[in-house]
Amino acid sequence: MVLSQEFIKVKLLFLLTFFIDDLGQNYKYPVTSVLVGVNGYALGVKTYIYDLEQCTEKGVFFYVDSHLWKKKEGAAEKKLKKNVVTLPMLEKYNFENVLTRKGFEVIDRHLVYEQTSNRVDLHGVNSLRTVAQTELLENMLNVQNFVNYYRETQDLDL
Amino acid sequence: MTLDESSFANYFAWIKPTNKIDNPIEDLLSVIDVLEDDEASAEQLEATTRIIKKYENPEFLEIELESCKLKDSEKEKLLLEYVKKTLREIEGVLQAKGLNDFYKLCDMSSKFKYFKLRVFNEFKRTSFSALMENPEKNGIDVYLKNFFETHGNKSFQTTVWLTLFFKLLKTGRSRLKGRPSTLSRESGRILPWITSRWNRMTKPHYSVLSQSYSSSILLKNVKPITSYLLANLHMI
Repeated sequence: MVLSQEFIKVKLLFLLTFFIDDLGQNYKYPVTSVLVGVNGYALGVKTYIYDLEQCTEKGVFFYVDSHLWKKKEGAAEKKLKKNVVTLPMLEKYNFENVLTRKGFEVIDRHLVYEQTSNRVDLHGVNSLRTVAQTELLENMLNVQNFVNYYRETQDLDL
Repeated sequence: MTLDESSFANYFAWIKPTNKIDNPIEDLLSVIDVLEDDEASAEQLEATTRIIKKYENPEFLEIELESCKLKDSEKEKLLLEYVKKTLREIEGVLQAKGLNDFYKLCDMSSKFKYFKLRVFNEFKRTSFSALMENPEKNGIDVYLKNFFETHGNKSFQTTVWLTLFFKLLKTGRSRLKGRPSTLSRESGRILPWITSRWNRMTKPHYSVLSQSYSSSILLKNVKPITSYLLANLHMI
């Protein structure tokens, strides 16, 4: 039996944008980081730059070991306002707690950009002395990287 | 190849790490909490310093990963027999689709793109799903072959016999009403109809999977299917 492409339903990817930055001098290139998941199951973080000339996205994907990010059962939950629809990916996992608290900035510090006056390129992320297009999120968001970030930006004596 | 829990437990056992490892994300969260808190107590600061020192220690990086093993040599033999039997069945399905050259099957230009083997119910049931390109219709053919007796086959048989019963009933009623007998005409129509459905039933049963995109194995990078499956099993 034949099932043409247009009739194949693919489950909708859930994208949650957290962080947008503009790079470049004459022309601004938006850099976006989003948390990606399907049906409340987290897949990873996608960081990409939008190429204004080619109209394409180019970037890095950080995949996750999702069981490490699951919240403990019985953990204190935030009180939500009325009529607010909760998102399982934020409710069940600790992504929001880490990513919005300097997590995206820590990731951004490990990205490798090439900037000229007219153009910005995102080559990848520093990983084991090479530049990679994929990396494990836990390798970026770890205690050491956070401590280094705080040491450099807030002059903390740790 | 995906196994459900009952099938996995039938042949495999988990090897748990000997030392319990703290969740690094929970440690990270507690560190962030303290770093952002200007009024953190001395005890909290001490605990955070301990965590930071722990992660600065290179020995901490040497951690055991959870893995699994085959229960015993008897189970290994049974599993290999199962693999051989399943491979023969897969071969039959592919041959029925005109894919009888193994090297062409593994070629990049082959229409056969993905396959997935799902094992469940303590290895009693196996289903094979495959994606094949259909350039003529500009689409993708999605196939599922169950290597066990399906409810679909049984219900289809019931449908056939019920339809036959109603057709005969209709013929009998028309005779009772004194109309000219339609039995010979009806039987002439029914018999080829039964034969065609019977032929369909006895052929391998295929049905469409609407959402079988996820977690399929990319065959393009794989050499022979047999060696691939065996290699995977040895890896497990």
